[in-house]
Amino acid sequence: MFLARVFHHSKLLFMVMVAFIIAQLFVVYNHGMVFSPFYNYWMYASKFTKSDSLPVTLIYSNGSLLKGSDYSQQDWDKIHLTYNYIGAPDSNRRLYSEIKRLTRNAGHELGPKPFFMPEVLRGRDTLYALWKLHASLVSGKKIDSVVTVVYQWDGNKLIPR
Amino acid sequence: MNFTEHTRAAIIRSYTNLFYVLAIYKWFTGMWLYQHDPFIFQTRFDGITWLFMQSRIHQFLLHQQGGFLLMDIFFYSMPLIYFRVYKKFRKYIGLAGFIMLVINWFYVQAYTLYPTNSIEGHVGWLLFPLLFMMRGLESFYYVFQGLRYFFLYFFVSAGFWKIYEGGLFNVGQMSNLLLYQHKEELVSSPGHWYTDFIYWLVRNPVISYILFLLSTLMELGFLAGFFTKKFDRWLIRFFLLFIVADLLVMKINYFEVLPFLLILYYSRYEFPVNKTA
Repeated sequence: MFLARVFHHSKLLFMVMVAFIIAQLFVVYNHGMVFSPFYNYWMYASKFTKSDSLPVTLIYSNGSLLKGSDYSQQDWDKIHLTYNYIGAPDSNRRLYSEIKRLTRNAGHELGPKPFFMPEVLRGRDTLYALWKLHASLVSGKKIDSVVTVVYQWDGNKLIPR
Repeated sequence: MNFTEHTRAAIIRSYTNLFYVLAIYKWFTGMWLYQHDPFIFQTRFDGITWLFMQSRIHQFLLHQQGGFLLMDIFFYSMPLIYFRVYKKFRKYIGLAGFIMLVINWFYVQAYTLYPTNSIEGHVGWLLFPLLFMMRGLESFYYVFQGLRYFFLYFFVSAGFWKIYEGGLFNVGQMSNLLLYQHKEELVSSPGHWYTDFIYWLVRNPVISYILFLLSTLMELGFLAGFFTKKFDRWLIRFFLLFIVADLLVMKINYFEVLPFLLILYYSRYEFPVNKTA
């Protein structure tokens, strides 16, 4: 058996490996908070049901819709995922209240500053302006507007609701 | 076949080559940190990341193009430095491996706090330096085998969660997933071959479900690796198929996990048992 051979070779290495296994099992059992490099690989594991309303982000340059087919997967992600992150400061603040509670229970007080965006970046408008610069750079086009439209599946294609 | 110093040299050489092939690919596709030029970060539910965030490097780097480039230089130079140390100054490989560990951890933690990158896909860069820290050949062999078990777990657990969370028992799972994953592209690019391909899969939920089912069975197939190494060549093929299919159907890039391919490739080399007694 593998672990028995490791034990015969080095007690320290054996203990490190057993600790590694226990930590991974704890993260699986805990089913929530993780500790790098122990994660739960459950991407797209939960049930996905067909939604009647699907918000779709539409990005325009000079009145023309940016097309996914014109960009590589990496550039398309850089344009769209960064837009989704504009809400990150609020998300960071919400998560920090949970971080504070957990670390306080563990007997340690973590300062809030590392979890928040620097002061100068706060505010949706400022971040939106930064995102427009970023997206314009990646797309090679001047981005002038973004709208979120709710779509639905009509059995053949996505149509505006 | 016996696991010898030649095997270790071949593993380190292959890792270095693969790392730089990926580095070139990532440079051409704009995936180096300085090319991202992040302007925002988002924390995650990870206790170790919270400790890393105490350094505030992720905040300091925002809008510091030079800082991002410096991080890239550190990260992308380490395998070459390690390879050089292994060839010329072998007694320092433990130290070189440890430096690689620290740099990789800082780089990956920062890189994945910014948009478009998940930390789970970068787990290889976090774990391989542990292997390179091993000075003795036998310790190197055992950590190498330990990483093999980890990689098998990586896939098996992905399959397990699809059963536990119920996604596997939902016939509409894949077609619903595809709509969610590609909604912006589907709406913005009507008539394009890729849009037509995804729409075709969505309109045929049974076919797309079969793809989901096959990929889950493939993930669970890695369970065999816990009992025998006989099928490791097949697992390599499954792994490559998984990466290509994920890129084509989901547009998710799992290239960062490729170093684990080496584990399966070199798994046939065994350290002689009599030497361990």
